[in-house]
Order: sequence, then C-alpha cells, then structure tokens
Amino acid sequence: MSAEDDPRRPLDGILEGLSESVAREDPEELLEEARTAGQGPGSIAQRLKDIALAALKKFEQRKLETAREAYYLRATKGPENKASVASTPDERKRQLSAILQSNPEIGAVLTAQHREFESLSDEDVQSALEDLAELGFLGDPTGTARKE
Amino acid sequence: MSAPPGSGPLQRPEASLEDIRRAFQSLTTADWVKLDAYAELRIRVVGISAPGRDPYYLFMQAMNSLETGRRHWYPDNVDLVKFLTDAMWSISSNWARQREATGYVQVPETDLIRYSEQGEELESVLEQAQSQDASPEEQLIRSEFQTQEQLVKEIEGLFKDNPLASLIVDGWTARMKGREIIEALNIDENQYRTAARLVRRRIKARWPKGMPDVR
Repeated sequence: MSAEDDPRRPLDGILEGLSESVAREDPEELLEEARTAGQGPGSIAQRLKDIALAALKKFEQRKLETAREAYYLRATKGPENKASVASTPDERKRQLSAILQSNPEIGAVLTAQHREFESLSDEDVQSALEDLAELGFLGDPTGTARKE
Repeated sequence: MSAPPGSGPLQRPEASLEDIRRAFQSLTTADWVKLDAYAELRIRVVGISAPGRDPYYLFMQAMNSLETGRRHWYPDNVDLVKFLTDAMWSISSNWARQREATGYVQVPETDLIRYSEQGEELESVLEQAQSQDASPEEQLIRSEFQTQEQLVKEIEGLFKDNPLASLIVDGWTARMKGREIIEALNIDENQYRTAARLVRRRIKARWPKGMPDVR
C-alpha cells in the first residue's frame, strides 16, 4: 500500500491541522475554549505544572549527583595522592615493598605480571604506585586500601 | 561537530536550569492549557489507538530532551511554550513516522524516563505497550470502534453549514499546512484562525472527552 492510499492520511491530516492551529493560537483563546468545554483549566494547568516541576527537581538531583561524582574523582586523583608517591627510585621501591608486605594479594598479582619484584623497572614501580594511589593505598600510612 | 542553531558569538547563552525553572514558574494557566491541548493532539497524531498514548508522557519527553541536551533552548530566540510545542512536534512526528514504517512506535531508550508528580520514576510507556498483540477482549472492543473513514466523514459533517471551515478541513485532510490553505483560499490569518477556532470548538462540543478511538 502506498502512503497516498493509507486510510490514516485524511485523519492524520485533520489531527495535524488541529495541532498546528493550536500551536499558532493565542493561549487566552485556548483557555476560553477549555472553560467553554467544561474542562477545568485550573486542574489541567496544575497537573502539567506539577509534572514539569517534579522533572526539574529530578534534573537538579542528577546534576548534583554528577557534581558529587566529579568531586570524588578529583579528590581521589588529586595532587595529594600524586605527591604521596615517593620522589626517588629507591624510595619508590621501598614504598611499594611496604605496601606489598601489608597486602600480599597485591604482591601476587604484581609478581604474576612482572615475575619478580626485584626485576621491576623504575617505570613499572612508578606505574604500580600510581595505580595503587588511585585505589587509595598510598593515602593511608598502614598501606591498606581506602574503605568506601 | 556543528554548534547548535542560534549559538553564534553574539548569541546570549543557552538557558540554565534556573532560567528554565523561572520560566516554568512564570507560565500562566492559559500557557499550560495550550501545552496540554497541543500534547493531546500530537499524541493522537502518533496513533489514535496507539498503546500507552499519553499527552503527559509526550510532554515529559520534551522536557527530557531539554535536560539531556538533545534540544537547546535559547530564551532570546523563542519563548518556553514555543520551544516545548516545537519539541513535542518533533518527537511525535518521529514516532508517527516509525508507526507508518513499522506499524508501531518503538520509543528510544533515552525517551523512557517518566516521573510522577512527586518526582518518582514511573513505568514507561514502552513497558505499558510491550505487547503488540491486542488481547481477545481488546480486539472485541476495537471491533466496535468506528473506522477512520467513518470518523473523518463525521468530522466533515460538522461543518456542512460553514463553507470556510469545511474548506479548511478539506485542506487538512489533503495534508496542507495553515499557510498553504491561507494562500490557496486567499484569506488572511485572522479569517483562518477564526474558522479554525470554530472547527476546534465544534469538535470539542461533539466529543467533550476527546475524539473517539478508531480501528
């Protein structure tokens, strides 16, 4: 069936025409039409307004949530954690060793990746410490991960 | 990526959430009635017996599109009522095109969020409309509806005594826009509006609770 033969088309046309006429109409005229038809414009308006304001409230809550998450990410990736990675290769290796002693399970993962702790390059150590900093291991003097 | 329309360097910025809230607070009862009337008609354009049809749902989608940045409102260019009616037109026209192509409306995931008046998320229209097949009971009820052709005839019959209104309805059934009808009939905007009001009023008087469902 072609679009021209679609039995909906004349009815759709009337509905399109009616909706276009509403779009270009003065709101006061439509208010009068609603009153004449006994539609209770006050309750129509209040219902739509309640929906709109509830949605706006939800949008604001989501924005707040997004801002909170962004703040949290900034805080966990912030300068304090970067600063807590030691500044020389020897210190970094000692720092990593201390964390691994407190957290043998991390040591197992790390040595599985790199075979031997002693064979880790300074770049590997730096990278591991940065990863651990993001996980919150460096912020705590005991070397345990941050509790959520 | 191209900038949204109306976002040139001399353009005042897009509305903030606070601007939107203030604009909503300042809408009059007449503005809300207009939005409601428009949503009601647009949802009927989507499908007069589309499952889950709901003007409030369409209105919510227009609001969601504003929040998600799919549509941008520049208050200096257009007022909030016009922005929302344009958004509802665009969304409902998309749905109507889908319905023409597939026989039903597939509401995108991003359009599913819907809230109660208390701000709680509600069951979506898609969830309400998931079953494409009408139950035997629904089929029986639908079989008693008049056909679309019968409804069109009935609407046309309401204006036999008014040639201008009748011609305007003829123009609409031929899918002409208001501007095209005004030009074709050589009438002015006021004459068109007056006749269109008569059409709306008679239809409302004939079906005070909205036009009937059709099969």
